[in-house]
Amino acid sequence: MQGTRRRAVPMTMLGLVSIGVLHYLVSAGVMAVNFTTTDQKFQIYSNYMQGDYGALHMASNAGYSSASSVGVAEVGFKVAKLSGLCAIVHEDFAGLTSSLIITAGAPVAGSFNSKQLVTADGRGTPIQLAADGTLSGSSLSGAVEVQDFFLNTTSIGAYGNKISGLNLGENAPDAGSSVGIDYPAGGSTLPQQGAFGLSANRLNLGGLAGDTYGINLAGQVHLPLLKMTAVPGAADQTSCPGAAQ
Amino acid sequence: MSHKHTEKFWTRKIGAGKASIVGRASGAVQSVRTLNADMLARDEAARRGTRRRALVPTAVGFALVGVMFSLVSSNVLAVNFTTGNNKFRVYSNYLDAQKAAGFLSPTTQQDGSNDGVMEFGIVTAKLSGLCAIASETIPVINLPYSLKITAGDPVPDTYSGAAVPTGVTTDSAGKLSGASLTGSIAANNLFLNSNMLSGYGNKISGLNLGQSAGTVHTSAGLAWDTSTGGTSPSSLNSQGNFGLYAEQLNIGGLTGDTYGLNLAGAITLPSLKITVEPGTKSQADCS
Repeated sequence: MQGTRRRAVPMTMLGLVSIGVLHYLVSAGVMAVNFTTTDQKFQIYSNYMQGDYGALHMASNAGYSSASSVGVAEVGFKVAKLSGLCAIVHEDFAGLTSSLIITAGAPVAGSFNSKQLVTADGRGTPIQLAADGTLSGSSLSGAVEVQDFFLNTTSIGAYGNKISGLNLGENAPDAGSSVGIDYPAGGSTLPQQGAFGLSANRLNLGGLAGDTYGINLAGQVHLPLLKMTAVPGAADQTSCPGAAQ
Repeated sequence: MSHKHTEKFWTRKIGAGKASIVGRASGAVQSVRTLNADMLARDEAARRGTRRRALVPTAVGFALVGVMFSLVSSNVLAVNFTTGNNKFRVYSNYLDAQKAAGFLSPTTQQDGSNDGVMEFGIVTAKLSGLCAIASETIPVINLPYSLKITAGDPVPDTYSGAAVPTGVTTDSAGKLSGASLTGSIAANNLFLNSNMLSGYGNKISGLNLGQSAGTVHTSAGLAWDTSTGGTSPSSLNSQGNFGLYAEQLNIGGLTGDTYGLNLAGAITLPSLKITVEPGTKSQADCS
């Protein structure tokens, strides 16, 4: 038995070391997967996004074809907490349009007014915020929480609420590293030296509506009340409240 | 001496000795008590002395913590940073700036270029509309693209530079008022390093040109943190560099080029829009 234990020790140690290395890589966000996107952008909506440590730079999208190999804003968040998420993808099959709606967390409202802060979700439940603009109460406990969240977008619209520590024009590689973000390695998406960058310690976006070619979740994500629905036609934000769990 | 006398003699002797011993012991106890009281007094005095001596550094410590807290809570410990190598352009229908300071300084570009810029700091800024455009050629596809950030009221295609833009409402002192005030973007401790600002200066007041660069930040109540690079105005003091200070620096139809913009305090950006578009965009593309 002692011989068996002795033989098991190196394997156990190797396993523990591997787990440690794996944990380090994942927690550092360096195991993020960079991928070739489709040619179609898709829409994302959220009642409120509390973005802790965000950065942005311009890059070319690693698209499937020249149609999607275009300039995008590579946006990264160290931690993002979303009061509701609704993503809508459109595809055409034999001349017929179908939509995939992915929802999680609180129901997303059917429309936003970016001049005002969103006060309620798609079913009229108030969105609870602390004085510093962070999610609180049931809005926090029911939030979709993502670590190391990346997207490549051509358009984001929102009500910027109590954004703090905002730098515009920061050297692009520094913008990410200054807030602890490691952009996915490989491909053409890495920030270039001397290019324009943006960073913020807190980037809260109320009534977020944007498009993106891809979403990359390098870290852990909690998706409460996750639901995926395929519907005929071109769904839009008005479909979000009804599609939610 | 008889036995009885001997006994009496020793009894007296012992009694006297007893009394003497008791007396001496009592004296000793008294001495110890006195000594103890003295020691306690000295100890107490010594302790009070320590407390007294500790009061000064403690007070200084608290004062420094207070100053530090004041600096941090008022967000004047703005972080300077290495900028990109290209300027970007900012537009605003109206800048309502209270307490502004500026001085000439080298840039902090990534490639180490040493262009001269005006480092500006504004304690309280209210902006009627904001449009920032950064244009650069993107690697791989090698095409020019523009990142456009807009917020607040729409920015028109052009500014005349000869008047406050139409639609902007101000009061008699030149401060934003009415709908322009309620829809404005409020920023505290706004820093930028610009080589060009233009517009219609509206009721600028308390303007000092040529003030020693090392004193303008004190006049405005701003602090430049250069722990991560950049130039501190106080470091220019001995050189007698040019500085600017204004109690109020209002600019209508603001157009400017800047390498970097830093907002240390919290800011609310209604109608925020971030877009990436092909081509080199201009003011006409802001709205």
